[in-house]
Amino acid sequence: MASTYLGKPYYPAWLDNLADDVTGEGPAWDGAIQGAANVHEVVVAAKEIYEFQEFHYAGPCGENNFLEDYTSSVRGVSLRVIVLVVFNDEGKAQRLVVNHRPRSSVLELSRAMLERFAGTPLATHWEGTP
Amino acid sequence: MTYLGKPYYPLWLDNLADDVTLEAAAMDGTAHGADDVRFILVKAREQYEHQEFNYAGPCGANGFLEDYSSSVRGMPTYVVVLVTFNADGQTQHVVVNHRPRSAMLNFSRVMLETFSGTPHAKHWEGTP
Repeated sequence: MASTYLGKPYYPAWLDNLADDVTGEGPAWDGAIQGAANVHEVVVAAKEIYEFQEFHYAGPCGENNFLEDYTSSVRGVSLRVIVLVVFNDEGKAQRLVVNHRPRSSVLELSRAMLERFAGTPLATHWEGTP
Repeated sequence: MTYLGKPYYPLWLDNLADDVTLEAAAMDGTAHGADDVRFILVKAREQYEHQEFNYAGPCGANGFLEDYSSSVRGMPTYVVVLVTFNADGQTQHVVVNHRPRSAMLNFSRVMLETFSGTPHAKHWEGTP
């Protein structure tokens, strides 16, 4: 899966710097994903489901935040995403909010994530997706 | 509507570019133009039972971010709004993101009721 920003490969450095008690929230799931191992697993799974990531912005947002703005697609459905990362005093990613749009694409991703995590404890976040 | 304990009003809402666009996790499609975008955003704000802002301030070179908690029909709803300004400093692009999924769909249903029978309803039609 190609992930590019301004034509060059892009990797989210914050993904390797998660606080132990990091939380992950978003319109595509219910509840908050808790803890570094779970958040890391979910983000990596989502990146595997994306067919590409083309970043329009990846950089600072306010004093303690980092923002990513990218386009993607899932199962051929166009997807736009804004990721807000909030760092703690130690510079670790403390809070992650992944905002997908439009609504039809949110639900497509949610269904794909439910399939991906079916039979695991993390599936609860996507169960009930219409 | 408070930010750091004080009343807050989104000034960017009064400074929309003529060709401003609005997208959202709870919407399908894009709303275009200052009149339509303002009308939709004002109606959306009427659905909130409160807004408590955790952050409202600059984001990147040309952006403004709002991070707030609210509730809609008693359902806790968390929101991230990204506003992008044009070279003239006007609001060019607005992206509104409600979460979690149940709250996003709840909000989408409320907006469909609000705009039922109007040309704007298309953005929320088909909400499960």
